[in-house]
Amino acid sequence: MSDLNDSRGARGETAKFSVPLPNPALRAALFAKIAAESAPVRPIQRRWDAAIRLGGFLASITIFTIVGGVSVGERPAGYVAAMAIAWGALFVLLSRLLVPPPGAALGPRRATLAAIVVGAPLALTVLVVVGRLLWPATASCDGPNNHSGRCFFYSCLFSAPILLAFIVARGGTVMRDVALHGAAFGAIAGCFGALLITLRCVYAVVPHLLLGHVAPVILLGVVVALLAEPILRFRER
Amino acid sequence: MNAYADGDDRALNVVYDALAPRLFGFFLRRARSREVAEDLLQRTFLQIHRHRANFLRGAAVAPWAFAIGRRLFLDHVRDRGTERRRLGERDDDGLEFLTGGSDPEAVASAREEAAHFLKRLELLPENQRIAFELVRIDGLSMAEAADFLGASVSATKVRCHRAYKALGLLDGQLRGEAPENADNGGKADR
Repeated sequence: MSDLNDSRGARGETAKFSVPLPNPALRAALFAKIAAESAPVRPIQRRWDAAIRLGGFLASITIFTIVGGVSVGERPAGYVAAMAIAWGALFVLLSRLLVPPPGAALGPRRATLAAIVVGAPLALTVLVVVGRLLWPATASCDGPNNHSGRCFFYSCLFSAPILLAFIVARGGTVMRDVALHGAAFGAIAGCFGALLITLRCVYAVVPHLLLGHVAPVILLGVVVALLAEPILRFRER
Repeated sequence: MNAYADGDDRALNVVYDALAPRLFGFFLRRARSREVAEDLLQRTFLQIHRHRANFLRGAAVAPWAFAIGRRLFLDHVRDRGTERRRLGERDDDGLEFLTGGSDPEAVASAREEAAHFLKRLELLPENQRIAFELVRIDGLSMAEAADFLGASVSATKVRCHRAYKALGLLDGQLRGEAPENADNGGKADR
């Protein structure tokens, strides 16, 4: 198996090395220890994970409803519907990318995670610009100076339960590229927040949408990436 | 592992038999201490047990178990406040755990060769060294190593190939095998 196991000596003789096996007593001690403690099994964990995800989703929708729910204002109804569908589809697509490919034990590939992190704000920006081009009337849907800050806050607020659900469900488990995973969680949660704030906010000018709706996606990605090591990394139980 | 993750405790025997020797070698080669390697092996299996509910259905178990083992080893190094010891900083070669062979002179000579090989391994760029170690020494398949590294299988093959080239294994300096044989170096335990 290994170059350490089969190496040629200076005089050309071949010496077969054997890396020793673990002590058999270790196996007995380990199995006794494991038999003495019960550990959660996958069917129960799957139900628990589904409940956490549902809880995060419902909490986010509840906050959205308390804040006031959907509001169209002077925006064209077609624009609002198209934005809701497109931003919602983006959220679903990015969430789907987070599911590891068959056979992968440690999460999606690094390139996929990076694509989620970079692609989320980029795709939202493209949708904002496309929306402006397809519905020129939205150029007049502007508001007071401080409205971008308020949307930024609400977007983060709507994203928080989804993000919390990610952290509770995945934190401390075995994953590769913890910071990238964290950034992807932040970006996807931010996308959901951006979807809800777009349903709520009646202003549709491009600078406002970029500052108040898209920027939180970037912020959440960066913040969770920075905090990923303490909150997400594998923890010995 | 799937049966074990679903609650069949008897399946742990199969998981242990498949993983323990490879994980033990993994720890032994890094820690150069039988005691530490056994402690880390025990801790790794305890974590496999406690985290089994998070094991993804149909996934390869080796990258998952090695990721746990690697994390525990890094924690061990950090807790001890020591940097990973390099061969050049030791008085001995740290390979006393390698045993075997009937001719003591041949064993000593080959052990020296192994120490020399490990020194050269240490000089490789990290991404090449880890890919090489996983496939050639730890016995993971290319797909398992790729999963561990978060890279594509082809990128992992390229890293291994460069490591083979840098180590002079392509022209059979240490072994007379074609490097492509390493593609079958491990089996996915699912």
